[in-house]
Amino acid sequence: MKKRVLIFTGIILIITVSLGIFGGIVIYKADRFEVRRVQNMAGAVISEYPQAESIFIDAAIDEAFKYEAEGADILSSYGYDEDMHVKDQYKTLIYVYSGMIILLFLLSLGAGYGIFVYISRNQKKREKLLLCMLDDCISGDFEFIDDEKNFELLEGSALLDSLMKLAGSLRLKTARLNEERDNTKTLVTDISHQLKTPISAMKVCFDMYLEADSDSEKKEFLDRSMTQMDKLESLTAALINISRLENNMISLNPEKVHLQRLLIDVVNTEYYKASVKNIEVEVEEFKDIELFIDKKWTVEAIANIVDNGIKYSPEGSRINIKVTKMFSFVRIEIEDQGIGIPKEDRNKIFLRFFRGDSDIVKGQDGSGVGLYLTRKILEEQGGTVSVKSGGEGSTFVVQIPL
Amino acid sequence: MDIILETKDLCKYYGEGENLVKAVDKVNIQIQQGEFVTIVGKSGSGKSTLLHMLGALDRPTSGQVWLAGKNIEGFSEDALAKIRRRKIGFIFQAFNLVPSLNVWENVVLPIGLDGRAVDVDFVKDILKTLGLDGKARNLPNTLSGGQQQRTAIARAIAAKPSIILADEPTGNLDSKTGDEVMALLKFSAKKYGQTLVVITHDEDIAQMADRTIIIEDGKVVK
Repeated sequence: MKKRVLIFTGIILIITVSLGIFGGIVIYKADRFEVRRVQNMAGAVISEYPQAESIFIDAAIDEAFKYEAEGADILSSYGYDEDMHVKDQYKTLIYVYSGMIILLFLLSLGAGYGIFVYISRNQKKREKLLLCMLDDCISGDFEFIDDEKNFELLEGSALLDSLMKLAGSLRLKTARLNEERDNTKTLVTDISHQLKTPISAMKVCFDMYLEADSDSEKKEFLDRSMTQMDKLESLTAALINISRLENNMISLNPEKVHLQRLLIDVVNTEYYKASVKNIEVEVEEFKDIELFIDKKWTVEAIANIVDNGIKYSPEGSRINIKVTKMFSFVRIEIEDQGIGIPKEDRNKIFLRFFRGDSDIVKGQDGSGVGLYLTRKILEEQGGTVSVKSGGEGSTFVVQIPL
Repeated sequence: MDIILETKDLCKYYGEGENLVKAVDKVNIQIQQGEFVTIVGKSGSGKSTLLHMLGALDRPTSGQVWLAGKNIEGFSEDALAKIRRRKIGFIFQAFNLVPSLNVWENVVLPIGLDGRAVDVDFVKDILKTLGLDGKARNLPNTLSGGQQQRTAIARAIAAKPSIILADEPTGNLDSKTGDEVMALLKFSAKKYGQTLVVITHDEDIAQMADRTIIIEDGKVVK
């Protein structure tokens, strides 16, 4: 941009300076003519009449032009008036000068036109490139973002910057949409898979019921199908939660929440289950912190962790909840004295429908949904959950942004 | 989904004959746009060598690295340097901040070196996200380890790279600060749509990732 301004100023300067120089030359030439004419007249008069020399010199240096009118009269009687004078002596000079001006005019016109064509051609190229990029945007092809060539031609263009921002955010959105679609696909597969087992078990029970001979047998199969029914019921309840969260049907509504209040709610939710196993859930004292989160879902997220702790801890043990305020996050550690989580499973426990292999885990009711939901809820709010486990007991670490 | 980073039979050998060390041996991995991947392995497993080749800091003995659909094998040093500056943000264990520059200057340094204009609003937003908005004029030696690593994260994100490569980013931090820095790294990479590859020996950190690649003796185990 600066370069262009410089070139433009240069051209204007050249035109002005050449006009000045030509004007100067013309004035100088005219002056030379005038001097020569006076010299000629002086020579002619003084060589004939030497006594007229002083009169002539006086007239030459007289600034008031006392004899101008008389001279004009005499000369004009010879047809030598101002018009003749100009026509004869200055004609060429005027022609040359006008010629120069016309030439300069044509030159700058040509140069200006050339520059215009160059700029508009460049402009067209840029426009074409921008249009191509927009077309790519529309058709969802964002590879041009990574193409260095585009940057060279459009360097420093404000349009390019905005377009890049637009393309970047569109690419992000498209990627997220695709991810969501993939998620929904696997979710449907996963859910169907989860539902298959209890339904086929129930079907077997009903078949047996229909073929049963005695009433006691019939009752047994009915009881069994009832158990399967219960499983199915809790599973569908969990699945509904997942699908709502997956498809963003539930919008998290962040509000100002006091962490102490939130943890009391967590403990209250799990109070009954804990008291049955005589497990003490204790929250270590801490200075209250205000968070901006969805209360209902965050309580659910942390309660799921405590629920897991209760499930896999022996009777009479404790679950300890400790809060530390960090720089950008609050760190909540939930420590139990349960069976712990084998190292190779620690990455998997937050996956949908994952359940451990050990007999203790298999002996407990569960669908592998709780911790998955926990992670989903926390991550949705910019938080994290992870687990540290050292053989006996597990410590879950929840981080929520301040 | 778009694959942003891919290796094809990637190998890096050192020495020869009996002393031949296969630091990275026939590694084939694919990393998708926007993914958060951890590469976990013990020290000496070749994970750092792998990261250096992913980040075009080192050339492989054989095999290829494909970045955003381009094979970078035949690229000149200048072209590679350009790619490193524009496409990849690096975060190292040792923070690597310039001690005589303040936080803001450290963060915008790579953009300046690349001759690009600094998107001031964007950088301010990053500093705010990382909790550094009050520290912009501070020199690195007045910051805690966690704050220094946050500055390094801000620097990696500010140049708007498509990929962030982090080599043991929490190695110099206590475990609580480490957890927090990882959460921030994950959160900001997601916010700005960047792909995140973190190398670590700490499997607890790997839990936060979408996917974990385990490497042993230069080979991908899982």
